Amino acid sequence: MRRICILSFLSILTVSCITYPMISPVKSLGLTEIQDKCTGVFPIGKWLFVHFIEATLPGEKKAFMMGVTQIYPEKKKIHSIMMTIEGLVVLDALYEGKIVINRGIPPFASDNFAKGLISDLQLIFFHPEGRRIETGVSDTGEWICRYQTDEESTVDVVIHFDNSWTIRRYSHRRLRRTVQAYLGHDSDLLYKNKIPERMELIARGGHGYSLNLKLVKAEPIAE
Amino acid sequence: MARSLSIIILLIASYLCLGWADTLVGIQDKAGEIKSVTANFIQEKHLKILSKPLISKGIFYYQPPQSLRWEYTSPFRSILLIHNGNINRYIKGNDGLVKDSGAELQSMQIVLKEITLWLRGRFNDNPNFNAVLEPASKIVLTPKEKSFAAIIQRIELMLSDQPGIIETVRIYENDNSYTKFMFNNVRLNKPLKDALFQEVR
Repeated sequence: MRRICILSFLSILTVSCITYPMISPVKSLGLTEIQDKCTGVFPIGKWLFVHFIEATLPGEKKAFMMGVTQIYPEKKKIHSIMMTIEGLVVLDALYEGKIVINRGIPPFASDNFAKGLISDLQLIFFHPEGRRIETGVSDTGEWICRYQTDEESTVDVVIHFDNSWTIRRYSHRRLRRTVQAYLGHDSDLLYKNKIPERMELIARGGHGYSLNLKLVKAEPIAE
Repeated sequence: MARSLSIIILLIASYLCLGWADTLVGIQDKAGEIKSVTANFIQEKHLKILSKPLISKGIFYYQPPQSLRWEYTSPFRSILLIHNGNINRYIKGNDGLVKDSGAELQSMQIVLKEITLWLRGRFNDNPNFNAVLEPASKIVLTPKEKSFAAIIQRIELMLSDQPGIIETVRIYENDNSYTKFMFNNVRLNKPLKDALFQEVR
């Protein structure tokens, strides 16, 4: 009975941890600073990133890939190439208003896979679409900006005390995606441009998965 | 008369210069004598969107007929094992070396099966490719079917002067992407333990 109580308590605690967080307002003096911090986590200008990706799939299965991503924030354009460690390209997808699969090897060639991939990359690299509806602090004192991205969804950008950040996407107030960014201090280029050395994306739901992205290379794209 | 003599001299000279890489059958015969291969490799991934290629390095071990250990040492550690028809890959992740169970390994089987055939000199054994020996010891493999060509456009192998050794391999996927493997420090017929193809350490 005691064990059941502990389990129930842990379940409640787990659920409560991922429920829609309350945002406490701040004085107007701090608003701009928080909003600038929230905007600052998304890269400015055109960038090319290479990541080593460790995916944890349902059933605790692991998959490893290399991801090459070009982002053009102003145009909301993304070019994503996924390949095996040995260099075989399994997906080459371009997003510029719509998704075009330049090359795909099954099962990566599917529209759904490409759509999911582009959606995850947009969450990681692009400032949320829609209007900012709240700015303030969390229960633990961290800064939060909340954006209404569509009728059903919101995105929270949470700035931690060490300047790292978390991005959370909610649908119907339920947490769907979390991106945790870990900043590195090894390179001026990365530090100055707030390019995370490592990121972890957790997708919740029936076919949940997690992606651990380790940065291999980051370079601004020349004109 | 002088012209006939010249032709005869030229033919004799050509015969004397015939190396191990003059016919596909000759290559297969020479490669068939090999008991094992150990070599270091450098992999260059060329993509149109990359200003410089992505470089990976590693070592491979091969033992006929189909045992292969293809191990990356940088930038990440990854070990691919082929033995008794089984293909497994282990990659150093957050929790140490873990088995890869992703779908991308299925895609890689196309290339992996090729590698063990090349190392035996059996360039014509894969029903999916046509093999042609070109001048300068270059073998070009082109897919027979259009559907296969959508995955790999062509493969070019440059053979070394030393019998049984491949110097470079270029795998062209399309006009925007190819992978180049360069082999060095090649050691032939060195005794290799079976465990090398079955265990990760």
